[in-house]
Amino acid sequence: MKLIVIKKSSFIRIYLLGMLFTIASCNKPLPDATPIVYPSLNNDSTTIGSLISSDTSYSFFAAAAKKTGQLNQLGADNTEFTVFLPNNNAFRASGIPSVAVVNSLPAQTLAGIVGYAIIPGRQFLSTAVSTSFPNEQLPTSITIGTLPGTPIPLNLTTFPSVSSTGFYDNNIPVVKSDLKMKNGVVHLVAGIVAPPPQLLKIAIYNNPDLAYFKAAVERADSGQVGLNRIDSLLGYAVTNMTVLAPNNQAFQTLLFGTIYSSLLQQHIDAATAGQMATSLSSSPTVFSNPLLFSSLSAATVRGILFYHLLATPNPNTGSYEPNIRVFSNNFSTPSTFYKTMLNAAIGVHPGIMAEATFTGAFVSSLKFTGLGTFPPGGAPYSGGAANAVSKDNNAVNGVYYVIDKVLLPQ
Amino acid sequence: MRNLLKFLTLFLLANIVSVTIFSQTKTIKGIVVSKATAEGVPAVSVTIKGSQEGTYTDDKGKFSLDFKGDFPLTLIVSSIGYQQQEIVVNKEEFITVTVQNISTLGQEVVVSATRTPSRILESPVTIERISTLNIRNTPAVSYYDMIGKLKGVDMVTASLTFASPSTRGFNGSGNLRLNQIVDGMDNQAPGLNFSVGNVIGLTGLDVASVELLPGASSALYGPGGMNGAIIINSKDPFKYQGLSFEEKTGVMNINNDTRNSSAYYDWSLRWAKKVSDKFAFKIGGELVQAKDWVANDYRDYDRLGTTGGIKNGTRETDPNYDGVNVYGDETTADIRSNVLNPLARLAPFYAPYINSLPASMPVSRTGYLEKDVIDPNTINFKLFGEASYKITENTSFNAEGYWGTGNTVYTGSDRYSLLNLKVGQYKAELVNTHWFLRAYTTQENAGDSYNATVTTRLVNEALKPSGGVDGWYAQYALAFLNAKLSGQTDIAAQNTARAVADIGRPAPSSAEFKQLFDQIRSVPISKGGGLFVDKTNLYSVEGQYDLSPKTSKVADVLVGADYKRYVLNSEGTLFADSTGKIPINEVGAYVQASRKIFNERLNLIASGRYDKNQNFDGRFTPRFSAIIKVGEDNNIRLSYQQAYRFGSTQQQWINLRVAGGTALIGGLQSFKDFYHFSDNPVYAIDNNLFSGSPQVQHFDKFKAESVNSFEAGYKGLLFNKRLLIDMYGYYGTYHNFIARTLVAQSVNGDKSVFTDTATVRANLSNPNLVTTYSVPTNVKGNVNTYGFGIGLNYSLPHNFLLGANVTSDHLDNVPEGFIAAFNAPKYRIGATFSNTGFGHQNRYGFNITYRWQDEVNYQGDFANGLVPAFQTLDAQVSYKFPQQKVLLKLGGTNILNQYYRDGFGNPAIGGLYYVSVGYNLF
Repeated sequence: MKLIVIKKSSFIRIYLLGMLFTIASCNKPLPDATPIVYPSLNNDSTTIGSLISSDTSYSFFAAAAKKTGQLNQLGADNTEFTVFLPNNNAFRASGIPSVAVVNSLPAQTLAGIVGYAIIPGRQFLSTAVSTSFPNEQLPTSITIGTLPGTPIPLNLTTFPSVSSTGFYDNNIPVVKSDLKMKNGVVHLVAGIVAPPPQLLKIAIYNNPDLAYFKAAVERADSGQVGLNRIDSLLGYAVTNMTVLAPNNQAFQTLLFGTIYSSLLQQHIDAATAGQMATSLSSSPTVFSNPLLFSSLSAATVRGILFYHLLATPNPNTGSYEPNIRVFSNNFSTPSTFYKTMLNAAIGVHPGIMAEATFTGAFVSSLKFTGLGTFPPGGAPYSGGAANAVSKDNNAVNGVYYVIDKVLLPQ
Repeated sequence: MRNLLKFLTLFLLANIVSVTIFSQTKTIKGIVVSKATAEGVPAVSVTIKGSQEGTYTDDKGKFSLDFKGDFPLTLIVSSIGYQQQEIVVNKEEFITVTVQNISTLGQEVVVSATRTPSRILESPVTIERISTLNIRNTPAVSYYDMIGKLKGVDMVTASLTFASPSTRGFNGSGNLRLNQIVDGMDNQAPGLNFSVGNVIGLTGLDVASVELLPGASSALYGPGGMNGAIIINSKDPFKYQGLSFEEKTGVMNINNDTRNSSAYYDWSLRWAKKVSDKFAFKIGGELVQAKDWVANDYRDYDRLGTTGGIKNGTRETDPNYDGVNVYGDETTADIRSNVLNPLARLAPFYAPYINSLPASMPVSRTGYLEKDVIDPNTINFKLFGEASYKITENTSFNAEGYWGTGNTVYTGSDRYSLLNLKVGQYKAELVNTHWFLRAYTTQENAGDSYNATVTTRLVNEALKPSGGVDGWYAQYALAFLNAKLSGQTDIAAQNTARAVADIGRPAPSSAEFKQLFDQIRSVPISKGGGLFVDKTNLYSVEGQYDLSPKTSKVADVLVGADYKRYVLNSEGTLFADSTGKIPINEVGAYVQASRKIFNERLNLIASGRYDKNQNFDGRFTPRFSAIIKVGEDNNIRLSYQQAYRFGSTQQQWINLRVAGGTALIGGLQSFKDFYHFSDNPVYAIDNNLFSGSPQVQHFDKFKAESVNSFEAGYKGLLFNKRLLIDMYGYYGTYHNFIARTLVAQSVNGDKSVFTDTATVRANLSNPNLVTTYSVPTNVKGNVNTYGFGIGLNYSLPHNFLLGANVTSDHLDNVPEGFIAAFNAPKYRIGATFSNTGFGHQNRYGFNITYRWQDEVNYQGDFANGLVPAFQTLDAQVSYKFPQQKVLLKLGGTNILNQYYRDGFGNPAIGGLYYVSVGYNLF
C-alpha cells in the first residue's frame, strides 16, 4: 500500500513537473510590422555633398555651392540626385580660372551654375539615359515658376543624351560618367553646362543679326492668334524648340533675288530692278511693305519659317509640334532628314537634311540643306547647304542656331 | 400544415387530460445533509422507488414529498457526486438523510447524444459534458469559455464576449457549421446564422449542463451541425431553488501595449421559487462590463480580394500599407496611372522624369487603428425568466424567455462592431415524460452595429474625397512630384506627400473625428454609411415523441419533426428585401431506433433525418451507431453519420454593395436572373481574365454542403474506476463546400472591356464599365479530414483529479486553389489538476487548467496568416463557508499574461484576474 502511495506521488510530481516545463516556454509575442529596408542607392558611404567638399578637384564647384547654400542639400539624408559636375578644370575651360573668381561672381550666377548641374530626386546612370533622338528632357533644381493650375514647380530642364559620339549634358560632353555615391550619381562634364539665361524670343529678338528673322516672324504671324503665333511659341516658357534662324544676310540674299526676279517679270529693266531690289531688301521692314504683300504673303513667310522649326509628332495627338531641343551633338554625322513644323501642314514632307561633323566630342561643323533651291528649279536638296554660324544657343524654351542661308521647303 | 397542427393539438389534449385516480395524499418531509460539511445539499432528487413521484431538495437541503400510496416505502436519494441512498420510510415523519461524496468519474448522464438520457460511458458518439460542479470550480470567467478547454475544441475569439467554438476544423469568427441549442431553442442570431458566442443565452448561474457533440450532428439536430452541436440546458426551477448570486471583479489588459489596465465586472443573479408542487418559476440576469481586448496587429497586409498574407512594411516604409487591424487604408489607388501619367501628358517636359518613376505606384489612404474606431466598452446584459406548471404528474407547461443586449466585435469579411445588438428568445412548450411540443421565436435587432472597415473608409472619403482634381490622391501625387523635385528619395517623397494630402486629417481622439465617425456609422450601408440594419426573426415549432413504451419489444423508437421560418428583414440594407420581408421556410423530421442485443452487449442505433429548405433540394441524413460493451463500464463506439448545411440566410439572400464596389449577392437563381447573368455573361476574375482570355463563369444550382464522417471510440473506467479513458478517431469527407467566388460583368454588355490586358485591371475598378459580384457557390472537389483524441482522467484520493488529453486534426486532399479555412491546429494538449472540495468540511477547492495548441495557418475572409502556437494557464483557488453558503474564489485565466491570438486579425488576449463572491452556488 505504501509502495503504491509513493508511486502515486511520483506520478503527480512528474506530471506537475511536465506541466511546469511546458509553462516555462512563452507565447510568441506578435511581431511588430517589419519596416521595408530600402537598399542604399549605391554601395558607397560618401554623399555627393561630402565628395564635393572633400575632393579638392571640385573646390570651385564647392565654393560656388557653399556660397549659394546648396552644398548641404547634396549631403542630406533621404536625398537622391544626378549631378553633371564640372571639376576645377571644367571651370577653367569655361573661363573661370580660380576660386577667387568663383567667389566674385554674383550669387545668382553661381546658383544658376550649381542648380542647373543638378537633377533632383533621381539617379540617372549613363545607361538610363535615352539613346533615342534627340535627348531626354529632365528637370534641374532651378525653379522659375509654378505650373499653371498646380502646385508643381516649373523647373529649368536639361538634356542629357547618349549616342555613338558620347554622353552629353546639353552640348557638353561628359568626361567621366557614373561616379556612384551614396545619394546619387555624378557625371563629370568637360565644361560648365550653362543655364539658359532667357527665353528664345528675347534671345532671338535681341540678336541684331536676326532682325530679318524677327520681322519675318511678325509677317508670318499676321492673322494668327495664341500659340499659333510663332512669336507666342518663342515667348512661351514651356515650349521646347529648335530654331534654325537664318541671319540678316541670308534673308537679304533671298529677298533680293525674290524681289529682283519679280520686278523683271513686271518688265522693269535689270538695272532699275537691281537697284530697287537692293533698296527694298536692305531693311527688315521689307516684310511689312504692302507693295510686296503679294510676293511675300504671310502664308509664304509662315511656310518658310515653319521649315526652320524642328518638330516631332506629339505622342498623344500625332500632330507635329515644335517639341524637341536638338543640340549640335544630337545631329548625325551622315546626312539625315529631320521633320519640321511644316509637317503639321504637309505630313509627307521629307523635312530638312542636316549633317554634323565632329572633332573629338565637339561638333566642328553643322550644315542644313533644304528641299528647294534658289534660284528655283534645282533638284531636291541640291542647293548650297546653310552653315550654322552660331550653334547651341540654349534658351529657357529652346535652342537656336544662326544659319547663313534660308532653307526653302520647295 | 393546418391539419398537422390540429392533429397535434388533439393528440396533446388526449395526453394531458388523462384521468388521475383520486386517493388520499400523504407527506414525507426531510433534509439531505452532506457527511463532509453537515450542511444541507440542494437539488438532490428524492423519489419513491417504483413510482413516478418525487421531488428535489430546496436550497437548504430540505424536501417535502406528497404522495398517494401506502407505507412502508423506499425513498431513493440521489445526486451526481454523491453516493445513492435508499431509505425505508414507515410513517409520516421528518427524516434526515446523510449523503457521502463519491467520484463522479464516468457517472454522468447525457441526453444530447441520442436525445434520451444515457450514461456518458454508453454514448454512441463522442460527447463532452460540463456540469454545474465543473462550472463552480472553473477558473474561466464564463462557463462558455470552458467549452474551449474541452477535448478537441478550438475557439476563435473575436472579442471578450464573442468566442466561437468548433470541433474538427473549419472554424471562424462566427461558426456557420455548429448548432448551438439552448433549452431546445436554436440560439443563432437569424440574420447572421450563427450564435454570437454567449451574448444571448444562459447565465452561468442558470446552467445545468453543457453538452458538446464534436463533429457531424445533423442527424438529430438538423442542418448546420457539420462540425458539432452544443446543447446547453438551464436549471429547472423545481430542482434548483432559492436565490443565488455571484459577483466577479477583475482586472485585465495588464501590460497591454494598446490599452491601459482595465476593470472587469460580472454581476449575476438567479432566483427560483417552487411555489407549489405544481408551479415554479425563475428569474435572473447578468451584467458583464469591461474594456474589450484589442486587435492590434499592425503588420502590413498584402490583400488580393479575400486572400492575401503578411508582407514587410510599415506606414512609414510602404506607401501602400494596409495594416491588418488598421482601417481606412484598404482604399488604394495607383498614382502613376491615375495622376502622374495624365500630368505627363499635360506637361510633356516632365514626361521623361515621370516615366523614370516605378511603373506602378499604389498608394493607400491613411488609416485609423482599430482601437480608435471600435467602442472599447464591451457590455453584455442578459435577462431571463421561466414559469413552469405541472399540468399532470408527467406533463408540464413551460414558458421561458431570454433577452440579451450587448456590444461585441465580430470578424467577418471585415471587423464589425456589434453595437447594442439585441436578441430575444421566447419559448412555450409542453413537456411530457414521453414527448414534447415546443414553439419558440428568436427576435434579432442588430441595433447600431456597423462595419468598422467600411465606416472608416467612408470617414476618409468624407474628410477628403479620394478622387477628383483636388482629391486626396491628386494632392498626394502632386506633392510627391514636388518632393521629388526637391531631391527627396522615393519613400521620403511619399511620406512628404502623405503629410500634405493628410493636412486637416483629424486626430483619432478629436471630437471632429468622433462626430464624423458616429454620423457615418449611423447611416445604413445601402445609403452610403456603415450601419447594417438587421431585424431578422426566426420562428420554430418542434415536437418529439418517444414510442419506446409501445415498441420496446422490437426497438426503442423516437420520432420528431420541426418547422423553422426565417423572416429576413434588413430594410434593404443587407438582404434583397427592399420591397418587403423575405421568408425562408425549412421543415424537417427525424426518427431514431435503438435496440440492445446479445444480452445487452451490443446496442445498435439508427437515426435518420430529412430536411427541406424552400431554396434547396431536400436532404436525408442518416446516422448509424453501435455501442459494444466490452466489459462493465467499458464501451467501444462506432458510428457513421452524415451532416450538411444549407447556405446561410446571407448566402441565400444578401444583396449588399460593399465599399470597394463589389456586390455581395445571394446564391439563389433569382439573383442570377435579376442581374441577367444568362444574357449578359459574367466572367471569372482569375488569371485567364488578366491574360486576355476571359472565361464565362457558369453557376450550377446552389446546393447544401455536406460531410460524411466515420468515427470509432472507446470510453472506459479502469483501475478500480479511478482512471477514465476516452479516445476517438474519425475520418470525414466534405462535399460541395460553400464559398464565395468573384465574377465580373460588363455594365453595357460589352465583352471588350475584359479582353484588353492593358486596361482590364483599370476597368474592373471602374463601376461605369464593370460590375463585380461575389457569388456563393459550391466548390468542386472534396476535402478529407481525419484526427484523433485521447483523454485520461485519474481520480486521486481526497477528491483530487488529474486530467490530460491530446487531440489532433488534419486536413487532406485539398484541391488546388481551394481555400478551405480549416483553421485547426495539428495538435492540442490539455491538462488539468483540480479538486472540487478538500480539507476541513471540503472547504477548499482549486483548479489548474493548461492548454497548448500548435500553430495554425489561419484562413478567413478578413485576413490570412500564421497564428503561432500558444499556451494558456488558468487557475483558481476557492474557499467555501458552508453555513453561509458563500464561495470565495480567486482566479485568473491566462495567468501568465502571455498575450495570444486564436484567429488571425483577432484581438490579443491577455490575463484576466478576478475575485468572486458567490452565494448559494449549486
